[in-house]
Formats: sequence, C-alpha cells, structure tokens
Amino acid sequence: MLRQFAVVCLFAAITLAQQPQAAGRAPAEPPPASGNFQIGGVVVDVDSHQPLAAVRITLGPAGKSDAVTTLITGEAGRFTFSGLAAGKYALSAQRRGYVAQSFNQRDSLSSSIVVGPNLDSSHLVFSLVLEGGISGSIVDEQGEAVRMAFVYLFQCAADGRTVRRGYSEFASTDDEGHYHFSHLRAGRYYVAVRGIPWYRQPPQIHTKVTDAQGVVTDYSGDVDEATLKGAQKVDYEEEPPTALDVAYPVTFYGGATDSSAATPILVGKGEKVSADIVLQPVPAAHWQFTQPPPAEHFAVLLEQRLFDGILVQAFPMPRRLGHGVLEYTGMAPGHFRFDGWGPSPSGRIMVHEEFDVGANGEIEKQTSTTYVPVSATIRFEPPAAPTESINLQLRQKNSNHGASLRMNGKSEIEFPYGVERGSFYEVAVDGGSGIYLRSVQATGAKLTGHMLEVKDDSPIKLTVVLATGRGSIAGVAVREDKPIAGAMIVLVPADPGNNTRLLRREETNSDGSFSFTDVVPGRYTLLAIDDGWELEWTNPVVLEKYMAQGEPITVEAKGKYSVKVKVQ
Amino acid sequence: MNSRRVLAYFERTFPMVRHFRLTALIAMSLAAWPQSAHAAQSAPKAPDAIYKLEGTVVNAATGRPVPRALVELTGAGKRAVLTDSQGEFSFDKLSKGPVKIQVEKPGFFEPGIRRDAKVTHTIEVGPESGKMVLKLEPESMITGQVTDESRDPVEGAIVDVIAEQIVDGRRQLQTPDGRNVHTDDDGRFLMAGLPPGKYILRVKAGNGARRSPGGQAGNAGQSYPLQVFFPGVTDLASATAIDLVAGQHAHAQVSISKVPAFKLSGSVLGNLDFRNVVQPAIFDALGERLAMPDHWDTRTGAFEFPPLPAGVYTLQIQQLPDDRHEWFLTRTVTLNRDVSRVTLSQAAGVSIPVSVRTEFTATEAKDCPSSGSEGKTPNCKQFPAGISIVSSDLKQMMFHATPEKAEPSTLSLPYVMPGKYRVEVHPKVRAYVRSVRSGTTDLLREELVVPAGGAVSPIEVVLRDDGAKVKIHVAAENLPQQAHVLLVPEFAPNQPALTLTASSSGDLQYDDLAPGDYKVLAFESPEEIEYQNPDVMRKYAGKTARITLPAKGSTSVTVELIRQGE
Repeated sequence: MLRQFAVVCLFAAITLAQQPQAAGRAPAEPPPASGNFQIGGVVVDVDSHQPLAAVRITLGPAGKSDAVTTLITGEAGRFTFSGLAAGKYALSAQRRGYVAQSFNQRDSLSSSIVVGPNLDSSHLVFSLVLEGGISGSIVDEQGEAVRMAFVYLFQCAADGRTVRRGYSEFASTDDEGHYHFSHLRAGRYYVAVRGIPWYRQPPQIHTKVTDAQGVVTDYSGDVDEATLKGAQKVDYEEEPPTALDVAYPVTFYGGATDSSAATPILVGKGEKVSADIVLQPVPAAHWQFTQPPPAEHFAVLLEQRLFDGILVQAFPMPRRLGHGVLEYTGMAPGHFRFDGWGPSPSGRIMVHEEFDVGANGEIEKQTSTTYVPVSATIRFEPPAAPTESINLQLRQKNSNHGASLRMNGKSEIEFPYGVERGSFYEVAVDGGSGIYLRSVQATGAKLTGHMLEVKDDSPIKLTVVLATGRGSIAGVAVREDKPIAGAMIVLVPADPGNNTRLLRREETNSDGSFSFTDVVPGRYTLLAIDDGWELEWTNPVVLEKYMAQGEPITVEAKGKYSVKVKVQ
Repeated sequence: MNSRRVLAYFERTFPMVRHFRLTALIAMSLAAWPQSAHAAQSAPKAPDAIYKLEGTVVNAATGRPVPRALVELTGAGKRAVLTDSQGEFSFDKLSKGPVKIQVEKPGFFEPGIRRDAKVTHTIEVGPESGKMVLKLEPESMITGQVTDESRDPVEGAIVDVIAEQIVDGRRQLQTPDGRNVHTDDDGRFLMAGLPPGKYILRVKAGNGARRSPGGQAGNAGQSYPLQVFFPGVTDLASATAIDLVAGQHAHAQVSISKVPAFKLSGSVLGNLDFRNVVQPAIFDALGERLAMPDHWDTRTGAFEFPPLPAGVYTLQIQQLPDDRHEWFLTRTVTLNRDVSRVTLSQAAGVSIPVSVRTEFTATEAKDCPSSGSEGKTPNCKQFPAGISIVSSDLKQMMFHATPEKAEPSTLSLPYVMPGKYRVEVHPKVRAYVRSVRSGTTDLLREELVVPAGGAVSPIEVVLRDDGAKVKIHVAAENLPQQAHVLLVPEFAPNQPALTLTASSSGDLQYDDLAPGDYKVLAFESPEEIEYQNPDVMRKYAGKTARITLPAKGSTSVTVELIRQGE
C-alpha cells in the first residue's frame, strides 16, 4: 500500500533504462522471416572517416534484444546482413577503444533501420567515436593512498549547463588509492570523492542503562534499541573529541569542496585524463536528532546535496545516544538533507531537516520542514471501476524525493506522510495501461497545470480525474519532401513548464519515420530539429523559437495519428 | 549471546568443532563494527595515573619504523594515537595494571594474521614498563595484465589467487577470503592485501569478459577457457606459483587464447521434485562453481549449458538441504565435441545404514542441547550423535545421516556417490566417540571407500560417557592473552584435532575426552597448524607433551608455549 520512498528507486530504474543499449524504444515486432532485403554499410571513425576493422556489429529486430546476429568487420570496415524480411531493425557496434553505441545514438535514443521495398538500407555509414576515460589516485594529507573511497562521476548534459550523474556513476578506489572510469564519451565531467579517514576516532560514548529491576549496566559504546527496551533509565556521556575525530569533505577534482567551485574535467575524444585528488581532514561535525516516539521502526536517511538537486548518500550508520537520540558523526563541510519516517501514535510521521556543516564542523542554517497532509479523491471519466493497480504520485521538483501511493481501486486516499511545505510537486499517475491524468484540481495549495505549490500548512485536497485511452502518433520528418534520418523530434505539450512529464522526444529512423506511443490526450506541437542534440530541450524557453514552425496536433482519447513534420 | 558463551557451548556439545576458525571469525566481525557496544569492565579512575607507555611500530620485513600507524589502548576507556615520523608513540597518565593494545595501518597486517583481523596484546603498565616494539608486516601484492591471442587487453576478466591453506591440519588449495578483482579496460588488475606465501594466479575470462571482439556470442564456436592459471595454462598442476615475500610487489602477465567450444546438455533422472534441486553446475577442484546452464527445466530435470571450451569437467547437482535426504550427484564429462544426453541419476549412489550405540555407565538421563535452531535435526535422545561424511576428492560434497523415510527410527546415508570419505561424528550429548567402524574398517584411522555399484558395510558408532578430564597449563614468560592449545588424538589420526583456548593465566580444563593417547601443543598465534603432516609435527617435538587419558580419569599436563615463527 505504502510506497512513499519507492519513487527514489523508480527514478533509478528510469536512469538504468536509459543506458545506451540497442534502440529499444520501438514496439516489438515479430522475428524476421527470411526475405531478400539487406542491411549493410561501412563503419568509420567519426573524425578521420577512416574505415574501422574488427568492429562487432549486432543486428536484431527492433525491440527484441535476444534474437540478434553478430558479425565482425574486416579491413575495409564493411558489414552486410542479408536475407532479411521487411521490418524495423536495431543496429549496434562495439570496438575496443570506441564508445559502444547504437546507430545514430544520441543520449538514450537512436535510429532504427527500416528495411523494405524502395528503401536503401545497404549504404549506411556507422560513425564511431573514440572513447575516453578518467582515472587517478586519491591520497590523504600525507600522500598515502586512500582505500575504498567512493568516487562519483558527474557529467554536464549536452546543453552544457545541467550536471547529472555519469553513466558509470561511481567507482571505489583500490588498495593503492586508484580509481578508473572507462568508456566515456567526450565531454565535461566532474569527479568528486568521499572518503573516510581510516584512523578516525569518534568520541567515545559511555551508556549507563538501568533496567526494570534497577540493575545498572555500563556500556562503552552505543547501545541498540533492543537493549534499551524496558530500561528504566538511560544515561549517556560523550567524551570530548580527540585530535583524531576528523572527516574528509566530499572533494572535487581541483581541490574544491563546494560543487559550485569544482573544476570541470574536459575529456576529448579518445583522451585518457588523469585526475588525482588529495583529501584534507577537517574537524568532524556531529549532528543529533531526537526521534519522535515510538522510536522503534524509525527509518533514517542522510544525504548530501551536490550541484543543483543531486543527492548522494552520506553516512549510513548513525549511533544511538540513549533512548531515541541518534548521532551522526564524521560529517565534513557541506549541505545535508536528513529524512526520517516511521509510525507515530496518530498514524505515520515524517521529518525532514536540512543543515549546513561549516568549516570547523559547526552546524549552521538548520531548517526543519513541516509536512502538510494531502488527500485525494479519484474519479474516472467516463465512470469506470479501475481493476488495475494505479499509483498516484507527487514528485518533488529538483529532487529524487516524492510520494507514491497505490490506489487499490479506492476513490478516497490519503498520503500517510504528506508533502513538504515550501516545495513544488508534480502530480502524476503511473501504472495501469492506457490510464492518464485528465485533470486535477486542488484546494489548500496553488496548482498550475499539474504542478502543486505547497505554500502553507493548510491540508491539501486533490480532485483527480483519470481517463483511459492514450493515443499514438506515427510520423515522418521531411525537408523538401525528403525524409531525414537521425533528427530530433520533440513532442511539446501546452504549458510545457508545468507539464514536464508530457514533454518527450524521439529520434527519426533511417527512413525519417518516428513514433510516440502512450500519448496522453491533449494539445501538442511536434518539432523536428536537425542537429538539435546539443539543445537544452527540456527548457521551454529554448524550444520557443522552433514553435512557430512546429506541427500542432490535438490527440484525442485512443486517437491514432499520422503526421509529416518539417525539419528545422 | 556473548562470544565466550558461544565457544563454551560448542566445546561441550561438539568437541570436534574447529575453534581456531571460530575465534578468527568473531575477531573479524568485531573489527567490522568498531562502534558496537561492549560491556565495559568497571575500572575505577585511580589517582596514581602517573605511568607512561611508549613504543615503536616497525615494519617486520624491513625493520624500519612505520609512521602513521594507529595504536589503540583500551583499559579504563579507549585512547588512540598515530605514530610519528619515527614510528614512535606514547601514552601518559596511565594507572598501574593491564591494558590492551592494538596496532593497525592500511597496507599492513599483524604477522601471521589475515587481512582486516586485529590482534590484541595485553601489557602490564607500571613503573618498570619499558619501551615496547610492535611489528606490522607489509602486505604483498600482484599487479598484472590479461591479454588475448592478438595481444589486446581483456577487460572484465575475474582474477583471483589460490593459495595453500591449512584446514583440519591438512594443506589444501583455497582462494583466501574468496576475494577477486576485475581487469579494467586496459586488461590490468591489482590484487593487494596478500600475506607472504605462494600463490597461483587464476583468470576467469569466460562470460565476464567484455568488449573483446568475437569474445562471446559473436563466435559461438570458440571461447576462453573457464579458467587459466599463470602464466597461461589451463590445468592447475602446470601452473607456476608466485612466491611472495612480505611487502613484495610482483607483476604477472597472463595470456589467454580462445579454444573450440562445445555444447553440453542432458538430464537428471529420477522421480524428483526439481524445484527443490539446485541447478546442475560445473565445479572446479576447489569446489567453486565455474559454469551454470542456460536452461534448467524444473519440470523434467533437463539442462543445457552455453557452449563451453573443450575440457574435462565435473558436473554436479545438489538437492537443497532439508531435514532429510540431502544428496549430491556428480559425473565427469570430457568435452571435446558436442555432448548431449548426459544423465545424472540417484541410482548411481549407494545407501549406507548408520547406527549409533551408547555404552553409558551413568544412570541419569544425558542432557540434550537446548538450542532452538536444532528443531530440524533428529531427536538427540533417539540419535545422540550427528554423523556426516565428507568427500576427500570433491571439497563441497558431504552427506549427513538422516532417518529413513520408511523406517524413521533408523539412520542412513542415502545416495552416496562412489569415492573416498572421512567420517565425522558430533555427539549431541555429554559423551565421547569410542569407535566408528564399517565392517572391519576403523573409520577413526582410515577413510571410508564407497565403490561404484558396490555395497558398503553399515557404519557403527559407539558413544561412551566415561570420558576423561584433562587440565592443561601453558607455561611461558609473558603469556599472551590467549594461548591456543591443540589436542591431537593419536588413536584417531584422520580425525580433526581439538583446538582449545587457554585463559590469560594459561590454564584450561576439558571434560568428556575419549580415553587414549594425545599429543598436546600450545601456540601463541591462532594460525592453523598442519598437524596431519609428520614433518611439521617433528619441528615441534621438543615442545610437544604426550598424555594418556584413562577412562573416567583425570590428567594434568604442562606444555611449553610455541612462539610465532618458531
């Protein structure tokens, strides 16, 4: 029933699904019966245009990754698959030293190869890009290797502004302090490292537990909740910090400990960049939190905020100071987010605190968030009894947090933890085939499109109208009536800034065709942009200048559309 | 439950249990949770806190000081310092009395101790405590590269090392700690954290190796051998061992080449519920799973492996452990062409009846252990001992005697595959094992041989309760916190020795021992001793005590401590 934090995993699943693999976006097609069409061409280095030998080329029906055939290119870099039936195929290539990629791959998109009468699919030019890498050593203040440090890779998006996690998201250092990120595309990266001084000594705790019979036991160290259960009295004493109570801040290449001051690493095509980082200890910060009663079954998560909206897990294990008091030790300067959730006498409770750790380990700017209750009434239009499992989601803007609640056929639901005051959430539905969010209204909070702004403590009541029958769009991108392969197609909803879930993109296939399935009914504009892959396409302002030349389209419930879009 | 209580429980109920390993395990789990609570000894803060403890940490291999080593002192509270550039440390304001001291540094271990384990030394603080020297042994490492036949690096290959280790007093090959590393995109690897010794480097490039053109699906007729040993051979016997001294960094270049690959398929015969069966797999001599099938049909017992490189393989299938009839089936397959219709059948096994007889002199009922986890094992009143047999050929293969389905009052070992086995008997009541026989074979001395297709005489176990008591005192100047005492039964040479821990005063007492002759040895370090090897035991002859324990009698013995490296 409850999936408050499952959204985090859900987002992770989306990220994984976007890893560069075969172009799997197109719907599955039946396996190819033998035919007499062929797919062929030459593999070249994208810059030198020299043919590449010893490339492993894999071909399979689009959307089916198991029915593949493979061949290796010879000296001339040529490949030919023959005896193919008409249909849509996914083509990918791998060679040592080059980025493994699908045909015309751009981010997670690529072009399928369409085979059939009057289509030329035997003169393909498959361009491969040399891959780069970043490696280096992590050493401590005395130049000694830091073992088992966590190294993060962040990547600047194609638009050059947003920073996101790299595909190979993290590495850990080996016994000589080395880390290694390989198979990287050329681009701007950031590397950050989180290490723990191997010698660190948090201050000792002494806990004195008086049990129900009045027997007193002294413990050196923290004590688990089970030992404290039934205790009459718990006293604890923390010794003053010693010189070895230190921590390493998350440190970026270049030495910055603040993501806004981090030095980017430019990786050129085929370039192996070395990036060493030195960790310097600082006095460790201590942060305490008192759990609301009952303290059992209270889950906690501490994360550090890097760049804009990237959260990385900080220290997983707090220690316990007496009954219900948790202490995190070993934090270094940075901005932290703490979440705790669990049962409470009145149902469930969630707490969220944010704080900064200053240069000397002091806690600054601590803010504590109030959670506002949210309930929702769900209605179907036309009226229908939902048999499938549908989740109503509230996704927090600029974070991977949010709430997701399974409706289980109910028409009145309440989010057990509520939402943060002062935050924005996008209302969305997930699951249930063909189900879409037709409209939403809110009292107690401001709603723009599907974006909810939680301004004050008033309880929020949502009225959600769901409908079935998503539509689909098939089209072709043309320039002077000639189909264009590898163009970017953007499906722009009305008011894209407040409907980010509806804003989607695709890449055209070898015959200029493209398709969007599961389209939520509504008004859209289709844009076809050649060489638009560097654009910050999710930013409505950037898309503005293309809108006039776009193709407007209104998608009705269960509608199927065929369009021709002019390439800009 | 506190660890000492666990040990005491095992000592009483399972005298054959291997204490050395247990202690090491506990030490490691404590090291992994340095924050966990320990009930503190209530040490009053004495006013005479005027003493000093000083020392140096040195590299055992070079004799040079080790700077920035962490020295931890526990007694009345915990204190820790890092050694200075001269490897020196000092603690002041200490009270007279014993303190525990530990030293650690990444890249080093305590001599004779495995990675990540810590050793605690007990030191007496007082007016005469002098400067102490703590030794750390530098880790050794192997770096290298794996390349293919065209000298291209192989990425994603799994590299590990195999070393001889001593288990139950015998040398055997193992992968220490089960650790492995992967080659990077340049085919390079780093295997660090190794204690000095001889290592065989192994590369498994099979399905894990990525991005080597033609390495996998592309060329179904060829594949890398499932395992290749340094410098590039496929059989363990031809491998070259890398001999590492403390702190050595060795380099190993391993070249691997593809060989023809073939299909292997077949089925498991018998009226079995295959949902309770672990899918068939190919195992190596170390008992590790090397390859698993692509398809395993839990309705029919049919299996099919992906194309495997030519070779001779041991195919094995195992029933999931439940309270009755756990079994293994094994078969050796030579793969030099496609092989289909390989069958494994329970009919290949032999059923061996087992009986346990007690010759008890005392009239009162023998107590059974009261542990909750014993629920699945047979009643200890009815079956006062657990009996299992362990294959001498295949490490992972062992069978446990279980009550017969048709006749629940009798025990048997069903479906035992042909081969040689050691019989292990664990009494569940206060008793000792008097004899274990199969026909005329004394199984305390000899192995059980199960012939192919032949019958085996029933295994008869006799337990008695007129055991002997032994009191052992370990004599040494500066006794360690724990001395490790080995009791080797001379009348049962193929049985594991008893390993016990003496208190800090060097004393220990043990009851319910089988009467007979024993060798007694005491060691400083908990390292496993190759006591089954007469040459090794000859080395310690001067410090070996011999005792003869009479039934119902009591014997005392003093044994001299054998120091580390002696």
